[in-house]
Amino acid sequence: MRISQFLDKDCIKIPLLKEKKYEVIEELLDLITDKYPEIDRQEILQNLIDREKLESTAIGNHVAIPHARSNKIQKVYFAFGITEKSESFDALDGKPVYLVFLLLCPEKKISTQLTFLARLSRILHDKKLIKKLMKCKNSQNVIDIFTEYENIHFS
Amino acid sequence: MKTFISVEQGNFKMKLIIIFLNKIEYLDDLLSAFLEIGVPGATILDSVGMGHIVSHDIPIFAGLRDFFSGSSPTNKTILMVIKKDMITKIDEVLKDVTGYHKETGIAKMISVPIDGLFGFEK
Repeated sequence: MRISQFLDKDCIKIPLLKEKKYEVIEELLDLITDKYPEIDRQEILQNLIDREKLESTAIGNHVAIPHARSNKIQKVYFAFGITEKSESFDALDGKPVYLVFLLLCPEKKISTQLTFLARLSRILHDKKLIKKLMKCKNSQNVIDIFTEYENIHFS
Repeated sequence: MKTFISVEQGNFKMKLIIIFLNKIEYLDDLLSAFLEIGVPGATILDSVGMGHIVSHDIPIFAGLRDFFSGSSPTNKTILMVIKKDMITKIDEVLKDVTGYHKETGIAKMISVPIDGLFGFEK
């Protein structure tokens, strides 16, 4: 699985306009639902909030990966945004979150969700990559960085 | 005086049996039954399934706790060295005691051919 294949220019926003955790999540979700209006926004949003309440998806190093599953979607949806100012999202390390990845998976595709989260969280332990991503000015930059990184490390 | 084996052999007459016992309430009966059929000994390790650790100790996977809900916080791993022809008996005992062939999540067993034995009593 390559994260870069799931990145879609229309679902990347730099910068995100919101600062608070749930508002940022909604802003990213809107990128997906604007492009795919058939998605039940309210249901997905509730699932995202429920997941966040279970335990924060902010994994540290300025990164959060809010995610949810739904039996009303048939494929993986992925969005990404960079905040200029943000709260910590209750991150383990207490640092503010700047890089936010939103992942939606079909209810039954648990192995896809596991693989995706594992790959993404492992990649995002690389502090150099995080620094590069934080400097991105547009969506193509983000796609190029991920593509290059995965070509080098997961070819 | 005891004699000890120290050989490498290629005919795989001995097997290493590994049993992952999730329903640890069967452990006592299982070990008793193994003794009855002549299993000379075993090593029992406290173990934890990957699913449990991933979903409880790594926050990003917390959303998968429901998926791993069958994964008990502790299980037992039983290691035994047996003669090859005892495998059927071991399997039968495991079936009788745990019913692991009727339901998932109770136990799993694998066997591995042994090509060397060192320090075992002859």
